[in-house]
Amino acid sequence: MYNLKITIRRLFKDKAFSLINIFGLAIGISSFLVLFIHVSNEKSFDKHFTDHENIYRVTSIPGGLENAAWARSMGIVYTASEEIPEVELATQFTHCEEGTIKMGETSISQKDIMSVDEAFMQLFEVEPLVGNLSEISKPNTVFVTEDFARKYYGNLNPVGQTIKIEALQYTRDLGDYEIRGVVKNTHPKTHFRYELLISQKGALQERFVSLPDRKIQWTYNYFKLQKDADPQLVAEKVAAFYDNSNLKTTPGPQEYGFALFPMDDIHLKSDYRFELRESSSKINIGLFILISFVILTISLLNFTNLSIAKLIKRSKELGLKKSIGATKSQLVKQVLMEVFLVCVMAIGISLLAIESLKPMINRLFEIEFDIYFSEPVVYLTITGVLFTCLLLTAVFVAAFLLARSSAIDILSGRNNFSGSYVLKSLLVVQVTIVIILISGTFLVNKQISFVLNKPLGFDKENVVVIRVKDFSKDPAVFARELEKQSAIESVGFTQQHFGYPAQGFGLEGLGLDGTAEFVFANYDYLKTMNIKLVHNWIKPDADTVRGMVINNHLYQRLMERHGSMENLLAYSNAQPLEPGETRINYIGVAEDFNYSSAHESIGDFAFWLDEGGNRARFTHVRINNLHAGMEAIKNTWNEYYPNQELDYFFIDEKIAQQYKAETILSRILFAFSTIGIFISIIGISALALFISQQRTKEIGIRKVNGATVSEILGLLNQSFVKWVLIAFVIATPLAFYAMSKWLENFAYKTSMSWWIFALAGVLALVIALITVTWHSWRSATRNPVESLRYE
Amino acid sequence: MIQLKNIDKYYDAKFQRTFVLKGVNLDIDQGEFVSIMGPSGAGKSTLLNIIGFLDEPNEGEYLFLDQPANQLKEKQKVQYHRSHIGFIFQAFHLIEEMNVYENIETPLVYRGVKGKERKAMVAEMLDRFNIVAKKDLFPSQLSGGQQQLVAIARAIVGSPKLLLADEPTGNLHSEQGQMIMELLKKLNDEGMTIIQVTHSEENAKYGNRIVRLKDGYLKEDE
Repeated sequence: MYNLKITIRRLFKDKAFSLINIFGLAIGISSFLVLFIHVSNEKSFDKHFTDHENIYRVTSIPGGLENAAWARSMGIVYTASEEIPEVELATQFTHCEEGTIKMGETSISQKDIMSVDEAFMQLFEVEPLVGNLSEISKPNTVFVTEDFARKYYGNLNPVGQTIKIEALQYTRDLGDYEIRGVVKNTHPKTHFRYELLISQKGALQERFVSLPDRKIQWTYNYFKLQKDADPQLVAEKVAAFYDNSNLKTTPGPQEYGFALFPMDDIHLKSDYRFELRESSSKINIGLFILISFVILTISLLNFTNLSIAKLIKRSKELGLKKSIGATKSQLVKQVLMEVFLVCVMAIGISLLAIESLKPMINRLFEIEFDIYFSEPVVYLTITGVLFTCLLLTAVFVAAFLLARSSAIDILSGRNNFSGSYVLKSLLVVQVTIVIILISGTFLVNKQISFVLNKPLGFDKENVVVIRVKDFSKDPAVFARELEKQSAIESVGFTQQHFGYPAQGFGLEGLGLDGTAEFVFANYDYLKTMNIKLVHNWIKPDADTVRGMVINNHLYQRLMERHGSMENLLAYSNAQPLEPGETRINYIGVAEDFNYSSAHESIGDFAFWLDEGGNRARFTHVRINNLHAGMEAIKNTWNEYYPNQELDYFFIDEKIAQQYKAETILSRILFAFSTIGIFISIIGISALALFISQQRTKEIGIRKVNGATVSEILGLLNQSFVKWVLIAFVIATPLAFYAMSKWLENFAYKTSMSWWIFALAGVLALVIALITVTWHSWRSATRNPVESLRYE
Repeated sequence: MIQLKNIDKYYDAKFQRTFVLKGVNLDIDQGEFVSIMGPSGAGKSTLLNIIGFLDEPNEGEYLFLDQPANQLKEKQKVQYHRSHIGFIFQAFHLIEEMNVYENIETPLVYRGVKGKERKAMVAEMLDRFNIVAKKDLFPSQLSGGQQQLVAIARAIVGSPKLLLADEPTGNLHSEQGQMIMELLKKLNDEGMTIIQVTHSEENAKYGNRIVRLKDGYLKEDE
């Protein structure tokens, strides 16, 4: 009680210093908690399922496409599971990101429809609120989530109502499904989401039955293994099952790699195409953890720095108390009490700040952050912070102030040498971190703008993509109608748009290893996307362009192997033709372009050009005027497809979405390095203040003896420049190493220029000089009489 | 009460040993009022600090109340600071964040005196030095003489047997200085042993014995 009163009085007496100290720490703790809690939330995905560590997703990847692997796999995987004793439970299911359903008279588009079996319910612990889950095995049944039920049926019991499923991803008109129950919403930390769970029996039955005999990858396959079963071994057994099956010799790629991917890793590590839900693989969880600890370290260092500076200033008082009979432990207790109080205030402020800033943080960083006060992270952080602060201060007080110097040294202020070295090394560490943060921010920004502005090989601006679902009418008529309008330049068809997983075909028939990706498109698509042809062998008089346009990358590889197109044709014509296959008719070579993702390098790619079929699924429309163009599209659509919702997006937005992770990353990095730099400025500033105060008398004497203000500024800055330089030397190699590690994630990387480091160093120096000059200027311009009387 | 035998105190520089005190022998009995005099750098304050356990001699023997001081443990020194020795300084050394009342109270807190008792003891001091009205003021609001009064009150509130004063009037003008010396004299008359360091012959006369130091040697004892 006695100490508490004095402590509070002391805090109020030096308001500026206390505020800086408390808020510096509070900012650090809040930043740490926000980042760290977010990371731990991300890490806890799927961990709520019992035996989550034994659940695996099985993938079947055609040889050569390892870099473009799908999360989906072939139906034979599910069949194989019956023969493998280690598999305790296996499920296969499909997922439709967006389908169309009809209730009563209205068609609506519905997200996240999954067709599942009983094993799915069991494996992923679907909890029924109404109904019996085993009814999912009956034909044409559907279970809806509580959100869905509330949205469309309010408080009524939806069981017995019917939903008409008009379109899933690849199928149409599945007919009526009867609601047999309501299930709890998907757990928010799950790597997938469902709103409707439909039966695999009934309308879909035929497709599921035929799956084991087809090389299509339509379903997701999950195995739950027995404890201690080796997933590698299970994968080998699946592969052996495939090798012995008739499926292997059917048309399509022959070689498949089977692998079991742990479910625990899906959310954080999956780069698979057709991932069920956006994963966080690009978010760089490791980088986040690193940044959060860096910020916390800076603020702890800062806090200790300030507390020690303050203590040195007060050392006289401690010495005096020692002379009137205070024991060491009483003094240490008193100092720790003060530190404790400040820490507690800082922690309180930061918890309040997190609560109130939560919505803003989530908006800014596009994350789903929430703090659960009962989780160990929170109280571990609090104890950790308290412990570190108290420990560091206690060590300093015990080692430097009380033990080494006798009371009389402290009293006569003879001991400031000991403290300053501690302070200066703390300062060097702080400046080092600042330099690393600044250069890191520069580089991440440089890399992101490099990736965003990299030529894609096609023109992404002003292209609207319309999803066409109704193929009962000829989309070519719709396209011709559109092209008549002045605001529309051209219309092309494709089955896959940029970023949508493409198909694969084996290159063995062409004498090459591996698999190329290809999409079905029409010739107008190339025109619409402004994809340039390097070689054009299209016969000018043909009314329909049919054949294959390969990209330059594949062309170069083929030329390397065969020397000329004639040799290539001779080679491939000599290969036996499988039933149902046709010879490839090469009609052109396109410039290289990046089709799927900027994270991957350009591979072998081809367009299979023709008209008709499902090619119009994604109708690409190039417009020359945003407003008029959209107006024209809407009008034509409503005329041609009355009562159907126009579903469209802009291709450049789709591309930008691919960089969402990087953009968010750079935003987070920018925000937190700003915070880090801010805290460090506080630290440097307080230290400058402290040093100039300690040298007040010296400054006075120098001035009396004729030193000018600028000479004194130079004198005080000199030592700081030295410490910043030392920090620079330490920081540069560390930053260089960390950044080259990070750049390894990208196929296309920006160069690591020397100016990044130079600029970071200069910035750190400028920050130091400005703060130091400000404080020294104040003491240098003081009347020398006043400063000499300072004692 | 105090026996110093052949006390040496020195600082080692690279190739040179600088003596602050050399072969000092001094006996002080209970109830004496000793003034240590000498020019600047003679080692007066060092001697006082050694006597007050704020500093340690390098060589020689120091007996305090017949106890050899170099065998004292840190704990016992603290005990002596609490109950046997009071300090006053030239620069007063009051704690800035504490008011008069709290400054006087501090040593009692460290001694673990109970609240009620503490209150009575501090009140008595305030009364005795006529500073009751100033008890809520902070050091910066007091004149130098008043600050030194508070410092003395703080030094003797625990009724120590020995009061050590390092130039108690050095920062005060003569009138205030005189008042402080009168007070010390009175305390000595009440039986307190006092050792003061002073430059002023006049102040030295308040005591009953003068010890002169020069260049670390005890020159005169009169």
